[in-house]
Amino acid sequence: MKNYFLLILFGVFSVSLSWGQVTVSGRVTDASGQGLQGATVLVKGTTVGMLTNENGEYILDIPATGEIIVFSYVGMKAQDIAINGRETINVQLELDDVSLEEVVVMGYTRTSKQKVISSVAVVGAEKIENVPLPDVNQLIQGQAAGVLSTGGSGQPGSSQSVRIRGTGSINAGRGPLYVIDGVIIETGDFVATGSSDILANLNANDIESVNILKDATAISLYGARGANGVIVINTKRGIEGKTQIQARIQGGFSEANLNGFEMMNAQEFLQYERELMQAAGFSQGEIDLQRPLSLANVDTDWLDLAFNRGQQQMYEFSARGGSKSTRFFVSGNYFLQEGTIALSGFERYSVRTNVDHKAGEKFDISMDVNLSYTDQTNAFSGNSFLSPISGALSNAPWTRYKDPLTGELLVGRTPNDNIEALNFESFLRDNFVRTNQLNTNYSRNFRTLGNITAGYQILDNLRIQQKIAADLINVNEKQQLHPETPDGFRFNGLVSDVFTPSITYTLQTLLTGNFTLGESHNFDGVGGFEFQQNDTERFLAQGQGFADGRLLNLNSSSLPVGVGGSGTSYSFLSYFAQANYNFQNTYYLTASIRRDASSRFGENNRWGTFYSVGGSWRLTEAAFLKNFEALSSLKLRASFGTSGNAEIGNFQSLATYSFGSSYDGQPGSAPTQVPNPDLTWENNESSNIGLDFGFFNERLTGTAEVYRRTSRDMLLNRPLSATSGFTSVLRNLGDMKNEGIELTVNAKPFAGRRFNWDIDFNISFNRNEILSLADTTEIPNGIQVWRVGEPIRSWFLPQWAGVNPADGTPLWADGEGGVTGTWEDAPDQIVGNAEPDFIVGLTNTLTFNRLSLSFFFYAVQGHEVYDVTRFFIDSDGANFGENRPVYAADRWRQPGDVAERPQALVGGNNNGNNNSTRYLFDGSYIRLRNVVLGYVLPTSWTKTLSLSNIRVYAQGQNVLTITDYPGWDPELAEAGTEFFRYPSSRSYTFGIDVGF
Amino acid sequence: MKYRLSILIALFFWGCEDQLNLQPEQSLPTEEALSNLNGLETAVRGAYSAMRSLGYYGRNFYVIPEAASDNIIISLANSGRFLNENRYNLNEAQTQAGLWNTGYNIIARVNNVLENIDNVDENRADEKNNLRVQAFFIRGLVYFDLARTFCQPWSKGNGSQLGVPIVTQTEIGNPPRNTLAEVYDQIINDLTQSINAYDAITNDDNRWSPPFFASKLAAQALLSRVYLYQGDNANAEAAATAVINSNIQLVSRNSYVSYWNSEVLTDAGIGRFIEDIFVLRVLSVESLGAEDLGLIYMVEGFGDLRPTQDILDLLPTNDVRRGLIQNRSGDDYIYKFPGRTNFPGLTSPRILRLSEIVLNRAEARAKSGDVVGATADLNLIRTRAGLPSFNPSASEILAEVLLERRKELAFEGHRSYDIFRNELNLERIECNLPSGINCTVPFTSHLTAFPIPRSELNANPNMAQTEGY
Repeated sequence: MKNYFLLILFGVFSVSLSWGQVTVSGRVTDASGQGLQGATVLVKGTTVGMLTNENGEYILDIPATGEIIVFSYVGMKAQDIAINGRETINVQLELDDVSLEEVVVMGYTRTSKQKVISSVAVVGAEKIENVPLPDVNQLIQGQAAGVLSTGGSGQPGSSQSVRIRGTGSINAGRGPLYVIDGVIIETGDFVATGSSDILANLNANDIESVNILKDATAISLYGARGANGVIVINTKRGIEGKTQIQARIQGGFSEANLNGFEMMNAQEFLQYERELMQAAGFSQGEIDLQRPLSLANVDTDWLDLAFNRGQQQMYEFSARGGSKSTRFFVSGNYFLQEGTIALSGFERYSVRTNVDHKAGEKFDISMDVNLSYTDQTNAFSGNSFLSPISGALSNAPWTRYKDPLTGELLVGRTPNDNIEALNFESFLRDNFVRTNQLNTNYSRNFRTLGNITAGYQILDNLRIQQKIAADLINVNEKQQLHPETPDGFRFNGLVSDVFTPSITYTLQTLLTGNFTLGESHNFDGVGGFEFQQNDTERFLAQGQGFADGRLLNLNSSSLPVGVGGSGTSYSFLSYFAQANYNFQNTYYLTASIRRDASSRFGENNRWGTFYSVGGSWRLTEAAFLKNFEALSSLKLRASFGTSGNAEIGNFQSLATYSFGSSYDGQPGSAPTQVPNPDLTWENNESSNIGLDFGFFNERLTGTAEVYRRTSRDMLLNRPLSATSGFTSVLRNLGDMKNEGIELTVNAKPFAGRRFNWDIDFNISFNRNEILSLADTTEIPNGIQVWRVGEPIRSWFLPQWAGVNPADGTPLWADGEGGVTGTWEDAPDQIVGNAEPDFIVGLTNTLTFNRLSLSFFFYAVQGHEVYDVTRFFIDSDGANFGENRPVYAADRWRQPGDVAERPQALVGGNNNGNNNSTRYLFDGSYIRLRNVVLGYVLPTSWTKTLSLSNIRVYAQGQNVLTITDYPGWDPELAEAGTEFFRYPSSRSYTFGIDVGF
Repeated sequence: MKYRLSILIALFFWGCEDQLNLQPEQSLPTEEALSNLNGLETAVRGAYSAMRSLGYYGRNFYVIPEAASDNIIISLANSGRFLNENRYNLNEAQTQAGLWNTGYNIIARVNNVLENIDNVDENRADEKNNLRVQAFFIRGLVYFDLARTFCQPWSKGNGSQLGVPIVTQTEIGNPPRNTLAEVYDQIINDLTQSINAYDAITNDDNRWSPPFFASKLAAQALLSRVYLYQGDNANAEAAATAVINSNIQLVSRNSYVSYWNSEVLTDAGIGRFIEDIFVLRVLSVESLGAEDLGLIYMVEGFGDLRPTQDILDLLPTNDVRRGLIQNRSGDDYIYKFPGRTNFPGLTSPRILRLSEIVLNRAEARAKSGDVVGATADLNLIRTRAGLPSFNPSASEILAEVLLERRKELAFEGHRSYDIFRNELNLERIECNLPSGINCTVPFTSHLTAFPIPRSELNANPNMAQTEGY
């Protein structure tokens, strides 16, 4: 149970044993009969009390004056029970309608689980706490139906993409809106180089719950910004009662997920290259000259050099408590995740203070402040010459990385393959082991997230609230190329500093109220106004020519080469209202409306209106279901509404001349975009039908939902004939739909005194289809295509038809049932898509006394991914001199061979490595995402240490992956392509949580 | 309390609406940007800056005619650049789309300027004419580069073959391809207008100075090449003569290597640039990094593109031009574009220089039977290189001029055009290519023109592909 409501009153032991004392014992359980650990049992009017043990049991010595015992537990209704001379009192606590547990916070509004009409997926703190990943987007992966969260890179702290109920747009934003403690915050990537998710600045242990809003009644209240769903994050707040202090420590390590991938060793690679020279018709003399057998005397495992074990660490201290008038939550956290590529990693320092204060009966004020600083050290990735990943996949194994005698790290090779050359004239084939230590590439984000809220109870049932919030982000990036590295040599050292400050402020006024007509008609509602403006600036400076590689800062630069600055901004002005009605707590209706205006849109289309309607029926209240004993709750919900997607760049509606260019040292200008004064948001229509059910006194609960969301007026970069001077224009064209089914089930097959088994399961199916592309039916997008009737991200490639057994040349389908040996003659065809058919999350938690074991499986199934890296490394001899994976040796050798790969020749075999389904793979996988074994130390031990609670645990992350994907790791960014990627990692951590 | 709060809230409402009209900080609406002379001048520089794009004179357009010729062999171990062009592995997906898009983007930039010159109230005819000199020259040059890349050589249809679409106004449309003859007329017309505007300028101070900007000399020099490509030898000779008779001088043998080591070279005696007629300026701060022009040739860069044995054999050690080849660790590398201090390979590409114009005239004269004149021009280049002058016969003269042209202009983006426009076959002795690939490309092949990019064919329903693709 997640709330350790600590009220151990040691006074109990000092109470003298006086005559007339009675001992009462018993058990405190929840509605399903499961013991509640940590429930407070207190003799009313005294300081005598205790917390229940892990089975919910208590034994209390009642002083002579004691008459009533108060049983309380967070989220439950407290009960006062008179002793009346009894020695055993067992209590079943009921859920409290307005308690923390049951409240569903939806940003502007909050409601109870019973009343909610919307589709909301809730991820509780217990699913998030202590998982050793920096970004909350990574933590919700697989925990909520309808949510697809993927990371394209294993670089700690890098951007994650989250899609709620499929992909809702092609050219505009596809990610959800994020709301923290009622305020829309900035999300995404604020760095100029590399990738960094600003949400990683948030300490996930501060989170009380993550609520994912999916249907119209929930997202329409966010109007022009809600179309891709809304993620509402609520942080922990103070709780009335004795201060609860907690410390957490965690440590461990991580390693790269390489899926058994191996590169050739020197012997294998030498033989391979000699054979492919021979096959291309080179003379034996030339072969012996270019690739002498002596090369194999050196054998360097570059892949092994690129990766190492990274450390994981976390330290945290928090306190939570309060009185009737003032409540608080404070925390401080340090988090470290080292990357699996040397010298890359992510560190975070964060503190949070949430304070709520009631000043008298009618006025309340609260303030939340979160300061965080992250330091992300990036590995150079991709196929840049200094990238360890590119080096690991291309450096020939017969090149050395250090001098065998002195141990000195060597620099790199010259282009003419001088094997052990000590100069760094060429930037090709860098020795990343050395370069990595000398170069620096980091981004440091400092974020202040704060809001102050004042509320006033005008009438008993009417409240006005004013919120002022600020989101200040400062990103500082540095990239240093050391003068003694191949890349930096050209410039005698190169340093770039980028500084990006961003400020967003929000003014929000809410009026909330409720009233009841007669006995059965209940009304409540909210009306509001919101204004938000963001200003982002960027300043960058670059210098070169450094006297000493140890002095790599701009002051020491002898030649400033670039100074630049830019600024951008946007604003939103919104009015909104929502009204709810229910009849006898059985039939519920809701309606909302929002008007939005944004600076992003053309003057002709600046204002938009969005609405939603929804209703629900609690069938369990209906007479005809009263007789079904097994059924404990049943609710049918339906909703329809509209929302918008305003996530396009700023100033896209204007025809502009930009002044970023220059010639002969004087400024130049150029037209940057085609005007579009009619530009407006994408419209999103969504409908949802859901059924919430509970059986066997809520031991089996769940939700099933079907939905359809249709994006209309989709913002699309319409290709233009380049003769206009532009290649595309952004227009509101095109429609697309997502349809799906989601099922969430929670079951407690065993709920006993000693053994508990808890299952959380969710599965979601989504089908995406492009409905219209305005005046065209097809827009190619690289190796994918947007075509009416097909899903977004459909692969559009020539069909690979294997190898011609006669001569070892590649073959492709010619589109007419035959094959062709000419790549140009093989037409592009739709051959699958990168959208998963379904995703599954399954968590099993087993508790036996103090021991608990939980394991969380995550599966993504039914999509295809494309490995662009193979264009280079599995290329039948193209890219001569660059190492190959072991599997590349398996190829056609002589007439009659039925082989997977064409004959390898110097320079490649007849375009065999050009784009085709040869490199398209099934991307499905099942992964043991998280497994935790925990043990709560016996209370007797804990008490000896004057502590209230100690839990130790061991945890594994990504320990097992089952997949047919032959690359490093099947989890790819949403586009579904792999390209010299930083692989994800597998980690093992150990931790201890101590309650004081 | 209640009232104070209401007042506070009311204050928030006011003033927010104005905040919806935000303006970008580094760009201006088009009509404001081009409303005055200063804005137009900035826009012309913007057109020049786009010529530095990687797909155009920044590198690729300057390198491809060499990589796809008998001057270049790509080393066995290479970075994968220019392999398709070298192998004539040309198709809609692998073509010079960068040149196509950039070229028309520059044309749009220039059209915007030309359309707005007369709308500017300022009564400054000289400055306006200077803008016309620049704009017409740029447009003529871009159309010429598009035409020689995407259209079959003139002699394959004498102008009746498919050209490229001619766009001289700002418009978003789907124009079809004009004929090549129409395109050449447009080029010649643009260059002539550039010359006329130059002549109309009364005060020389109002002219932007060469060689980094267009001038009458640049337009005449380019005309001589355009006429040569078109087979109009008389006009080619006349245009070349106008350039040669001006006060510009050839670089001397002694200065030849240092000329290539410098961005431009000034003659101390006369205080003027020598040799260079039009150079596209690239400043150090405008480096394309690893993609800087010279790095594709040099050891310090990729070193992928090496001189072939036959071009090496054509340049004996007593030829000053051999000094631009350097041997490093036993291999020969091209150092014609060595760059500058701290920026190896960063080059301001020379687009028109006097030696070419001399060779243009030699070729025009040889083709029209003026052996004496052609020989005089040829020997000017030969003796400057340190070779003895000689007197070829009438049957040899054209071949000798073309051979000298190959040597003098090697690696400067001429070679494959010079082969095919003279109806010759590309025959490579060594080419490091997998067997069966186009080591030889006959003049009759469709590969003598690049295909129209697929992106254009998809976007423009009126666009026709060149026959053979």
